[in-house]
Amino acid sequence: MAINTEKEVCNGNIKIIREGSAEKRVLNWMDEQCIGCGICKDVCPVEAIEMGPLGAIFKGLIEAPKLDIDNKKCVLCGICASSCPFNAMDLEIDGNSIKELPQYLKVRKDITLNQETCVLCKQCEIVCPQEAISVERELPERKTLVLGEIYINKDICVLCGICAEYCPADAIDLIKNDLNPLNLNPYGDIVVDTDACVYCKVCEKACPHEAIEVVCYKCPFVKRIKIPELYKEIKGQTTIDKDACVSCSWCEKICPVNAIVVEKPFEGELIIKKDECNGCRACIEVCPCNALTFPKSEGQGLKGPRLVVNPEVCILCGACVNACPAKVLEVKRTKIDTVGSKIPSWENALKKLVN
Amino acid sequence: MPDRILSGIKAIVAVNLRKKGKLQKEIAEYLNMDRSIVSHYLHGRHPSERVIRVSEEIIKLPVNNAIKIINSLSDDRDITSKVIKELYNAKIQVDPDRCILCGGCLECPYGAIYKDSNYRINIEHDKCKLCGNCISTCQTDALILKALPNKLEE
Repeated sequence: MAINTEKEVCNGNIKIIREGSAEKRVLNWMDEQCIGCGICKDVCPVEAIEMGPLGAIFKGLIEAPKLDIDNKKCVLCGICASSCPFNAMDLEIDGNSIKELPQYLKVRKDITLNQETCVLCKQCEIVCPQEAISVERELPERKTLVLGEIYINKDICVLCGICAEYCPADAIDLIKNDLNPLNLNPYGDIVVDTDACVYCKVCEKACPHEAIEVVCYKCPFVKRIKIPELYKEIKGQTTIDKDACVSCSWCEKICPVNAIVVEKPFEGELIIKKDECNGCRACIEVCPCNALTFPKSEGQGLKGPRLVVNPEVCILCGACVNACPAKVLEVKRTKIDTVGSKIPSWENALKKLVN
Repeated sequence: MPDRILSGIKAIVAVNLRKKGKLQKEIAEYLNMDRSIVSHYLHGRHPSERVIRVSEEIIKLPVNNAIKIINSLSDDRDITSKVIKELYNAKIQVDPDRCILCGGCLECPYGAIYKDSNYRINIEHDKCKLCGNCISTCQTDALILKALPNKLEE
């Protein structure tokens, strides 16, 4: 007695639901998370998944779902969910995600951060193509790093503001007067913000009236100035959103202290038949890792190379292959990293990804 | 018509059981029927030779096809399953190389299929009525009816 498999489409997301007497299964697909790599389509044992017009979608030419699931074909096995590298698919059995169940096999990718090693440089935050990393950093105030005194002789000072214009720390302010017939001066006073002043003496040198005296004690009292230590005076934390991370390893490649370790799901190579590329950029738009680019030509009027991939940050997901209208790209995977319990039929399904 | 063919098949089963040394009474109990009818079966008085011939042809079909026909002859799954078990010594088995753990077969009307703590599919053969529902539900041909060598033929 086959039970009905229902389909719900809500905000562009698809839910396939099958509720029987023995169990309830729900397959969730989230359009926003989906990259359109087509791995789910390739592994589906019942050919229930069809990809949308990905090139046009990622170039913003049309709005359409990146894929469709046929509830008449889908048997809710969950192989798609276990192989999706982008967490766009999930299968729940009686409310439990199979990704959390050790009894199931899944494609493995991971990112780990060693916070103790991390120097909070924020460069990973800048390069992450999925904005999956955030670095919070709180520095001690600048005044804790300087020692000195500054004195403006207001009897000599003409309030010309030259010192303020030169001040690299924006520490000098001229106080404006309420200009009126009884108060003819535009400025009433000059003040120094000693929280900002670094006693650099630029104002002293710049003042044409020699009204400023600055004394810097940094050199004689160097021992009194404590060098701020990471994770003591300098506070901070690096947060990685593992769901958003696509394991491109860009962060790992640029981390100056090797604090990040990324494990990619596949090994292999991306082959580009450059001569057939028509330069439509669909692959560049779709790539979740920003691994593809058209390099700049070496000089004006010179033809640049067509398309290149940096294999260091490519995860071999195959999204570009699906998006390319000219069939210029080919993914050759040689190995899949999996974790969890062995399921022979699932391993066979995943073998379709390897060639 | 279906009843007569089922009678034919039951008669063949009765003869098989007799050859195995079962008593008329035991055969009647197994097939849940009157002893006098079993006696007719064993002496070839009923059903007709033509019905027996059709029944024999059905039995000779590949087991997957034969059970479909036998199951369609009656809704009494107690009888059909007993007949199939006796004729083919058959069991439904899960091929782990094909089973994708989709759970579609768990809706077995007799509660004979369950998922173990490893989420793998298992069959409780005592409960199985060999109705073949799961076989037709399975999209990956992972459930197979395996006919074991019949003790009689050994």
